Amino acid sequence: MAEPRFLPPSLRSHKRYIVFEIISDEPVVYNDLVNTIWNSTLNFLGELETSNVMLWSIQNLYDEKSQRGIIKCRHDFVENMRVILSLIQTVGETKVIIKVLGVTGTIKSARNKYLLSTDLRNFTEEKR
Amino acid sequence: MPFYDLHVHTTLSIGENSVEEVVDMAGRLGLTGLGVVRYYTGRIEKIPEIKGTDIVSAVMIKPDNKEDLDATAKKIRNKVELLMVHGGNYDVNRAACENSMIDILCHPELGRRDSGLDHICVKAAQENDVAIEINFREILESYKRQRVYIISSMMKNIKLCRKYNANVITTSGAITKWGMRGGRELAAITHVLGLDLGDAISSLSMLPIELVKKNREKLANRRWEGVKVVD
Repeated sequence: MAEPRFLPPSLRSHKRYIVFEIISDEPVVYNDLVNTIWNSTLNFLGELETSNVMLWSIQNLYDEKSQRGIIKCRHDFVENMRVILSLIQTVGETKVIIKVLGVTGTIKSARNKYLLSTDLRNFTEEKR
Repeated sequence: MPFYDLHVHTTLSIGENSVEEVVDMAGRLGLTGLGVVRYYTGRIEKIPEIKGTDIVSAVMIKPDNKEDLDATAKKIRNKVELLMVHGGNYDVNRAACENSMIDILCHPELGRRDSGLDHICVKAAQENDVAIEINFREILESYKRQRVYIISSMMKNIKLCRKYNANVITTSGAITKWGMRGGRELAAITHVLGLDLGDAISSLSMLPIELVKKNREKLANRRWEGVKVVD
């Protein structure tokens, strides 16, 4: 079955990668975290605005040991996403604070700047 | 960039965590300074000395009316680095805005359906150098319709402050260490509520730093009105 072709770069929406760290007493599971972020986004922005955010979480870049991860969103929703992450108080039963470490334009720079020291599971380094 | 959160409660007031725990969390969140707030109950609790974070001695007064506010402010102004007023009552909000001894009017919209401020208050706040607080705890601890009312009130206050060039200060208002947030996150909230991003960041860094510096110089008798030290 035929699939639509990739849009040319000029027609794709601009994206940003938000690198965050979770401060908590107990480790946080990825699935719980993603559900909480989605609920918080829907509560704060509503369904219509959330559909514009293009929220995407990257599972294989979430490190449960250092509790650092990346979420992708549209570039003009970065400040909204900061607010949404700061409005999260608990993940499951665990009290958390989500601290944004930085915002980048590519996964590569996010990895190099903020995640390089961490143990990245299921991620193979690009060879040049 | 240095960030100051000027409104944090500890066990010295209504908070659940000790000053040490709060300072530890501030360090993890990258905050440079912390305003440890105590309520004025006839005497002022002493803050333990902790290295690493700039701790600002802040006192909040809860006056019933204008006369009470003026008398209490006059009494303790020279003893504290930061004098805040517990807002919520319109008369108190207005009296605080009209009193140049007050540094910050906290949560003017607390417990109200309206924003608690009007153009007269904000004009007076600008003239008397009183900053209007945007308190993050109010948003964090409210849900659904209540949160909408609070956000709406804060937006109105920010709009008035922008119109009359009054100072806005963003704080976490945390009563536990889990209610604290990083400086950039708090700035994002004020920005989303209607303040320019530069001003929102300044409401957590430049403004609090200048305010604390000015008050410390006054307390040390190193500042006189109309006199400027030239380097």
